[in-house]
Amino acid sequence: MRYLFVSCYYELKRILRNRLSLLLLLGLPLLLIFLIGNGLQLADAKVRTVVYLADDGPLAASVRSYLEEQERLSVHYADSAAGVEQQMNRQNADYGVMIPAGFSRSVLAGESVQWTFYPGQLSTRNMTAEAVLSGYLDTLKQQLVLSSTALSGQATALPHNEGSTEGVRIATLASNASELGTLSTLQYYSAAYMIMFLFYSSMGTIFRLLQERDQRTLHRLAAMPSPLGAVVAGKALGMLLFAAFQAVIVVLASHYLYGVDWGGDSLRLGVVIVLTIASAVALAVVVASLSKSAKTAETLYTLLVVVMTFVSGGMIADVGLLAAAGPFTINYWSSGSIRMLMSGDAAGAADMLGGLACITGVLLVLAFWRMRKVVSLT
Amino acid sequence: MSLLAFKDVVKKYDMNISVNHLSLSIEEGEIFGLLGPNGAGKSTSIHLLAGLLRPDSGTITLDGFDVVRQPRETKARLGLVPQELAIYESLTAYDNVAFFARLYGLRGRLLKERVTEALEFVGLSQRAKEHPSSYSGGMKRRLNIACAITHRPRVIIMDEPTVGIDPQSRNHILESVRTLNKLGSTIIYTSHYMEEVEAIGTRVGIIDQGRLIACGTKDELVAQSGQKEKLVIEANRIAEEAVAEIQHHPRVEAVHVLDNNRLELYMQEADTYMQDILFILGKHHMGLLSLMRDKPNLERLFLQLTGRKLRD
Repeated sequence: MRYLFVSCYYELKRILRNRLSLLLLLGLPLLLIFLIGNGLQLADAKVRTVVYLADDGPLAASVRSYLEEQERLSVHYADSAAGVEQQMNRQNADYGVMIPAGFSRSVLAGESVQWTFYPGQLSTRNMTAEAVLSGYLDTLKQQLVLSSTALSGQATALPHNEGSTEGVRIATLASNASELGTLSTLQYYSAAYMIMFLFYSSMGTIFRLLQERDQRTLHRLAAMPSPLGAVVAGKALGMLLFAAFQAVIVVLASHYLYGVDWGGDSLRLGVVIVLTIASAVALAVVVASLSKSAKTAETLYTLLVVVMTFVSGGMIADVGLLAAAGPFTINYWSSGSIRMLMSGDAAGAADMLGGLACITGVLLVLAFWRMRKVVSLT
Repeated sequence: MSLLAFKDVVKKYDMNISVNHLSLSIEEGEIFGLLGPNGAGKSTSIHLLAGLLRPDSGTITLDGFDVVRQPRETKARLGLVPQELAIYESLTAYDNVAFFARLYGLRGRLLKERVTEALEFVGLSQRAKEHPSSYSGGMKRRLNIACAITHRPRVIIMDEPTVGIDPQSRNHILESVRTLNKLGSTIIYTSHYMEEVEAIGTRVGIIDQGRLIACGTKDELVAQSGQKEKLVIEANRIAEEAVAEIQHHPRVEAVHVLDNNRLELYMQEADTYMQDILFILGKHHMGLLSLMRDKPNLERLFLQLTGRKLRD
């Protein structure tokens, strides 16, 4: 046991003295959670839209009514086209639109008429605003006699039909309710990124073992009276402790800094973290045993982690057809368990945890079988 | 009883025999130079001794303990300095030495004393708190040695410890080897630099194709090989009578006239009988301009035995 603790102590020392890697493993997940979580929440925020409604005809009221009902827009009115431009230039609005005088008359007369759009700097917000505004015009097209030559933004129509503008959606980095369930984007991505970074912190020691084998440090260790197994186990223990420390930092920092609610079940959360670390280590051992060099192993493993994170919805929630491959990844079960815990679904969490435990078990058996290859001295 | 003994040791990799019925004994207090061309079985022999490999047959004993059956006892008596820099760049020099010392079982005050002593011994005590990444190649090599000596091993294996370093560091290491030997450690030293082995080795073993093909002190090996010393004499003229008289000298094997001024001869025990040759030259009024001696050495012996140069 003494050798195990000596080895563990020095492994921790090695990890903690590498400041860059420490910064990456502890700081980067928090930064990504902050940026992506908040970024998507920002995408969810209402688009500040400045409107100059010059028309005072019969459709003006329907336009006002339509715009004010849109949850994705925060509408305020300017008293001139110049006022719209001014608001846009001052960045007091995300998007601007000018509805010309005589809009109602032209539409009802079947003549062509054009709205003028003033896109802002954020493309996602432009898309949202254009989708909402086009929705109004499309509804007119569908329900009334249309002018086939009308450009986008031209229409002849009656007032919009309430409800017909639904379905506006941001396609990238989806954060709609169907993908996230009852979780906030911060919660969703906190779980995903913590899991991803647990994988990264768990790989270090295993690949360092390959380096040690190549540099013959492992030979030196094997030529000592201390059992090599205890020394290697000590190194793995050091890495496990660091990964656990990383998880604690991510959970606490995201909770206290960003208000992420990890659910109330700390014990099960701890079990998920431990199982994830164990499966990550086991996966690293298997990958290392199949690779000729530490560099190859590291590249392969990193790629695998990125793919698993993506397929399991850790980078974007809606991965389309790839979602079917999600259950074949460790991340799916780890992140899933945590999300269930976050949403208070104990039964669901237990199911996901069971799946994670099974995968971990299989991987550990494989890792024990392949470990000899990793520390082989010949 | 020898401190270290290989008895009829065989080690095969698949169908290739790496160590072929190797028998060798090393006495306490020796600096044993182990020479051999690449792939001769040196490293395998060292790995077998260090307990990193198991022999297919035969026995290896160290201080009376069997390397296979009593690995803890033998490993505790052994210090291995691998050819590669088996140190951790992410730990300071002090921590590197302390880590390995702890794994040798040292603790507390003794640990601190021995680590400090080892770093002083290799001349790194002033830079003990620095990471090896800031060290020169020679300093890293010295740290590599410090990591193997804190437990004061009875046998230290040094596998090419001077590869790729500057002459100053090499001299420092060679001096360290002598000092370690004086302090009581038996040294097994492998090198691609024949002059190193000649300079420090008390005995030399030459291994080729897994077999020990020659073993002894340098003088013994040279004598066994039957090598003669070569003399190249340059004089103001070559007198035929002098050549004939030299040819008849009982210690001279052969004489060749190279040109009008130079004479090449092969002889035994040149140190003793050189004056006879000089006397003959003087007797026949040959004015000596220069004399070059090419003594028998291990390099020539190695070439003679293995058909290869050591660095091939």
